Amino acid sequence: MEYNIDSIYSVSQINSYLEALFSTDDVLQDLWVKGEVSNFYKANSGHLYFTIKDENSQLKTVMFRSRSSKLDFELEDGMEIAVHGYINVYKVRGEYQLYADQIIPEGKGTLYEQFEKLKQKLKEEGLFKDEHKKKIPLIPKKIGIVTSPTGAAIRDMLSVVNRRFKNVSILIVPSLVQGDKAAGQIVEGINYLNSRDDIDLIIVSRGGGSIEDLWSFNEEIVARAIYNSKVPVISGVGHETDFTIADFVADLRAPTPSAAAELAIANREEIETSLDNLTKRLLHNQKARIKNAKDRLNSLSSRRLFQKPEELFVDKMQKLDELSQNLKWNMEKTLNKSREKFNILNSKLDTLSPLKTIKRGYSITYDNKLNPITDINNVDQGQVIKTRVINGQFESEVKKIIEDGGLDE
Amino acid sequence: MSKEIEKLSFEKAIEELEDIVDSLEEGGLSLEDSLDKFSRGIKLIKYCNEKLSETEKKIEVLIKEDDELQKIVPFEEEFGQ
Repeated sequence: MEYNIDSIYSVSQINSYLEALFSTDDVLQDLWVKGEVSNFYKANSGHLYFTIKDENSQLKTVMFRSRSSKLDFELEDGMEIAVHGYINVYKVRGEYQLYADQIIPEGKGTLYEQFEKLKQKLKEEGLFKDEHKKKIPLIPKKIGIVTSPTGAAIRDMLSVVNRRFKNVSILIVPSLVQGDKAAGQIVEGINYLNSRDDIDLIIVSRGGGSIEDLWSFNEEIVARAIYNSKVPVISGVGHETDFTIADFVADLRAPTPSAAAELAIANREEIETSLDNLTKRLLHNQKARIKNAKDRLNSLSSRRLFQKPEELFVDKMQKLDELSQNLKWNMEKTLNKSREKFNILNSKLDTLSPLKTIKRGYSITYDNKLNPITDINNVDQGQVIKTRVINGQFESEVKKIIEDGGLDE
Repeated sequence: MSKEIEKLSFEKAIEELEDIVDSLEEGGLSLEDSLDKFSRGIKLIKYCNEKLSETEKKIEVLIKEDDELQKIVPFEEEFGQ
């Protein structure tokens, strides 16, 4: 390799080049390393410097105050830890080192492992099941919010409420939302809201942050308090991509605090709109129905029938006339026939009448029971008989019976 | 069906109202039935609107002075910017 003055790099150039190289490496930018702490030193600035090592090798590590202040345990030499962060070049010394943002004492497992373990456990217990999800009320009267009263989350939520809604009551129950005491306070808040009788919806919330910041929402006691809450709970923790155990167990998961507020009251807006629509539909439908009925009525009453109702009867009247005419004819016919018959009979009777015969000199003779005597055998000698002539009758006594063919005297 | 309206939850009232509007729109009811349904619908709407305007806007915060003592004050008073 030839020496060429133009292709010589400065130390800074090389370190910068390496820095750029490290920065583009996916593995180096986001990794967990485990090992034993040695050469631990806490500077006055609050930054932590130490080395993590195993039997054969070591790695320089720095954790700046912004991160180290959140550690909930004291780091010391000899401690087995897992460290999360990225590796890059410290150009001043020309050394690469691990820039730590999270440290977990070994044995506890990584946060991710804890998260997965708890999630699995609660899932198996059935805490995430849909059948346990309570319905979010359509119009919550009073919403209880468990969050930090000074955080970004409450500001975001209230601005949603102020912007979009008029009639909603909110009771904020202040709680720490990160650090050791946070989980306990969140649980207390949820329980307190459940002890009141005017809260019909709870939101548990905090703004975005690292997995450690959000950790209290991954704690089992918080999950159980949400699960046991009689009042429906909406979770709104961190950013859209952050999923916490609280999200899984909540009755409704909102991706962010503002979304939680929106979800809590959007129902109401939707309901108001849909009530408006239903009202319009009902009125419109009824108007249409009444108009329809009116139209039908109008068209019916304009029909000929109602205009000239007598037409309905004319035919029948005519028929009635016809029938009564017929009846009259038939009666007359029958009467005439009878009269004729009577006349004939009358004259027949006249010719047959015995009176006429008697007038000509005949007479009729009865026995004492007024039976006409027509047979000589019905008469006894000495019997009193009656005889009728034209102008009276007389009684006589039978002196002698003479049968035809006998002696005539 | 004709439960006293005041005894209905808001959700139930809305549900019944939806059913009524659906059945009216579907048609096939006698004019008399439809008038009955209509007047029930109007009552339900009135009831729902009352429920909606029942709540008032109030934003409060719980203040704990110690474990025993706590009070509720308007949020703006305590944390307003």
